[in-house]
Amino acid sequence: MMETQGTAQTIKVKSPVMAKNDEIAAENRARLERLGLVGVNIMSSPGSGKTTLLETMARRYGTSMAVIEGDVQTSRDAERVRSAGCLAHQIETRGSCHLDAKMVSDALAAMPINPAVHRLLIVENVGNLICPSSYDLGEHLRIGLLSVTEGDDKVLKYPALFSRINVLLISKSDLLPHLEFDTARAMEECRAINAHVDAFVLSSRTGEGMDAFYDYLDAAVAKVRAGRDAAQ
Amino acid sequence: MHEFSIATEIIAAVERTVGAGARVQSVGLILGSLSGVNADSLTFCFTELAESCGMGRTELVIDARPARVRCRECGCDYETGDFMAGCPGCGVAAVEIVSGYECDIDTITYEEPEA
Ligand SMILES: Nc1nc2c(ncn2[C@@H]2O[C@H](COP(=O)(O)OP(=O)(O)OP(=O)(O)O)[C@@H](O)[C@H]2O)c(=O)[nH]1
Ligand SMILES: [Mg+2]
Ligand SMILES: [Zn+2]
Repeated sequence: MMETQGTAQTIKVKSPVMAKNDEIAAENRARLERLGLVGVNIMSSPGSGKTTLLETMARRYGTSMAVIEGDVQTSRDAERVRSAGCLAHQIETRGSCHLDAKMVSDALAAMPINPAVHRLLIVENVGNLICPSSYDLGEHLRIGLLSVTEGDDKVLKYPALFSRINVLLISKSDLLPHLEFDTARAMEECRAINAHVDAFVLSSRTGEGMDAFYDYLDAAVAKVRAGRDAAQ
Repeated sequence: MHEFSIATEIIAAVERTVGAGARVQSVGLILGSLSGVNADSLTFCFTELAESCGMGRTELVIDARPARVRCRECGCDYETGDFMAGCPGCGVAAVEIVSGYECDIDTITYEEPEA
């Protein structure tokens, strides 16, 4: 469609602003699938327990887990995950409040990923419940973490994120006895806007609820591996 | 606050479409209520950036759209800002979000760079 007014013309483009990001994200996803890795994007507000969860997961997955850490500043989280025994790459966004697909693509290129060893590529996004949800990174699973200290009313305050996650993790469940956090309410509100979400209540501190989450991840890994083997 | 990076993306996309150096009078943008983008700060960032990139005084015309949902109980379609308010048809609060995430460049009004 084209119309002219004076020397100016109007063209209809109808193109998503994220088109370029989504293109790179699709390449990241294909690359992970060729390597037989499941990509996981973990999003939450600052301090919800993302890195602590990764430290706990490292005890179960050991060297089969590779991690990309996104923080505005410092490489502290990558160091924590490395100390826990995993390959870890830090992205310092220098002010940017989210990761994008290009940053993950560059990180993947810099990481010595070994398809014989690695099964999971976990991305810890910048602590922020708003911006990260708009950026596809090329993950297979989007996980939203909500810690019980944040309050059970947060899901509907951030519907753009919680409506598009595959997994809701209600974290720090060991603190539930000290708080008035209604886990059923948080899960119900999430399911109201997200029909397919799987929800787990867990504590990285005590290990409570972790096994069910591991079963879920193991199934996701098996699925990507089967897809790769079938393609070969 | 990622309006600055969104503004940068819009300008890059406009330049890819109409060519760098074109004077751009306005860009029409469809912005859903779940886009996570604040219209005012985006407009501010965009206007500043467009001018510094030589597009001129480009106006960002934002078409703000509410979220559209489909009731998972009775199938009826409605617009809402309150997902727990319940469906106007059956009262149940269980929806599939049909639209509202969009942040799409809709139109570009520009003059070709002089030959
Ligand atoms: N009680 C309890 N505390 C936890 C648990 N998980 C994390 N924490 C504490 O919560 C605080 C923040 O944890 P982190 O893992 O650093 O949080 P994060 O989400 O990675 O934070 P950012 O990367 O800064 O956004 C730390 O003091 C942790 O010890 C848990 O399961 N139970
Ligand atoms: Mg962290
Ligand atoms: Zn209904």
